[in-house]
Amino acid sequence: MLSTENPNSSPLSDSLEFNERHLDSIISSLVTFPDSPSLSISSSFDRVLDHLLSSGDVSVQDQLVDRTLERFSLLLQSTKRCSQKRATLHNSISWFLPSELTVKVFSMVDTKSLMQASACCTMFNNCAMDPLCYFHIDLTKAFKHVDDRVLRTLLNRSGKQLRSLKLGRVDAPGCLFRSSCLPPLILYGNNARRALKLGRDPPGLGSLFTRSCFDPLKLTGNLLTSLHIYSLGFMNMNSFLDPLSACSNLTDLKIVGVNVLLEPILELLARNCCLIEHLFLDNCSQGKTFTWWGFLYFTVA
Amino acid sequence: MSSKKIVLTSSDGESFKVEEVVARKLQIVGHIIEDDCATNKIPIPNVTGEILAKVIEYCKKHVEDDDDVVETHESSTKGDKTVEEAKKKPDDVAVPESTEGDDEAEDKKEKLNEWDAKFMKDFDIKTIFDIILAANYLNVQGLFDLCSKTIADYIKDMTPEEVRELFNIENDFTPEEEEAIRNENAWTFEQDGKQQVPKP
Repeated sequence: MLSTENPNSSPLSDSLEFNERHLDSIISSLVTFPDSPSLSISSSFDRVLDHLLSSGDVSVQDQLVDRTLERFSLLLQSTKRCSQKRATLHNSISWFLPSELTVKVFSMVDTKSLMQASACCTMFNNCAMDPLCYFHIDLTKAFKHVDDRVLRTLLNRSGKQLRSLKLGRVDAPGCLFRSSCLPPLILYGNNARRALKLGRDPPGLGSLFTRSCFDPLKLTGNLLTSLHIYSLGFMNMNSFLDPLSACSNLTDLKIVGVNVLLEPILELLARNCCLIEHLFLDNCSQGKTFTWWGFLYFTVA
Repeated sequence: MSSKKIVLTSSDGESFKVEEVVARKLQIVGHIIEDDCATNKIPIPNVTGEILAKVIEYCKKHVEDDDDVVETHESSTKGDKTVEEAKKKPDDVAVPESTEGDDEAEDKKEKLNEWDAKFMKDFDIKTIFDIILAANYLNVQGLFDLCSKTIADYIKDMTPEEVRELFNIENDFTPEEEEAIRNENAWTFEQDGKQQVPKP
């Protein structure tokens, strides 16, 4: 017959419980020991350790020193952890929005500022990891310091929430048009294709990016509607077209100052991106600009 | 505009008599009205009187102006195509003419945006948070977005130290965690070749 005796009432567990309580009591006494000018805790430590180390052989003394250091190291770590918990609790009172609303606020912050905010506290850092914060990734403000690794990290964080991506240096010398300038087709009459001779090629920011830097778009680009790329210098066509083909919901594409061929892009857009409305391709190195404003209708053989 | 009045009662017992069209701006109240669950008194248990007053002020302004903007825009876009438009070849590109109605709608929208900015200007951060919570609970999307954008604008271009100071946030990272995050996001801390050093 099985015993119905409560396992918690065994002498062993009772002694464990007592020991734990006893231990807590000792540590509590130590921590709450009052500060007093007449009593120096430091001197007490010295006296006790001197006394303990005066007896026994060297190996016992070494063991005692090691154990003492270990105990106080544990106390220090515990203190730091408790301090962190207090800070976290304080933050949840100061910033009392629940995480889902914090994420909505963060989704309205530009990418660079979001990354800075994420370094404030654990709560902000956790919220800044939410894919909803990466609806719109704009890396034009920090173009000098953005590289392949940064782009990949952000694209991976966005999951499948990415809606718009801006990359590169907007005001690079050698680019004829600024970010606000998407000239309407009206200005050109019905002749959408124009040849423009530009003074110089843009600086080669492309060196910061590897051929596979847009690869994450194959997974995250399905809902992407807007893609702006500025002055990335050389770009390998295959490594760009392959990810672009996954962006089937693209409505706005702007490529300025990048060494790409127009025909393959137009062909790909006709085949895969039927929703395209705004298209601006400015190929600095070949001196060609292709602009379309309005709805594009492609016929594919 | 409907003249039917509805009384909204806040969590601290303050009552606000508002027109039904204003009350409907609070979508949670709108649903109660539509489901015929409403007497003319509706309790709002999670929102204090002080905050509810601000939400109602926003809704009153946006009921009038949103309706005006929509009506003006609709009246300007009504009507059949002109003969000239009908004669045009399909591949001709027409320059859209800016009508008076569109200008008026734009003007009203601009004024509404100015009012929004003024409305938000005097609130401290705690009040903005309270309004965000209320707007989320009452489902007033416009107000929620406005407050969220205001907080987002505060955060914009600030260092972590400045954000902590502004929102009374404490650094609860371990030194190792903080270093890892700063390394991962090193590109955001770079400024003209120098790296931002965290304040001690």
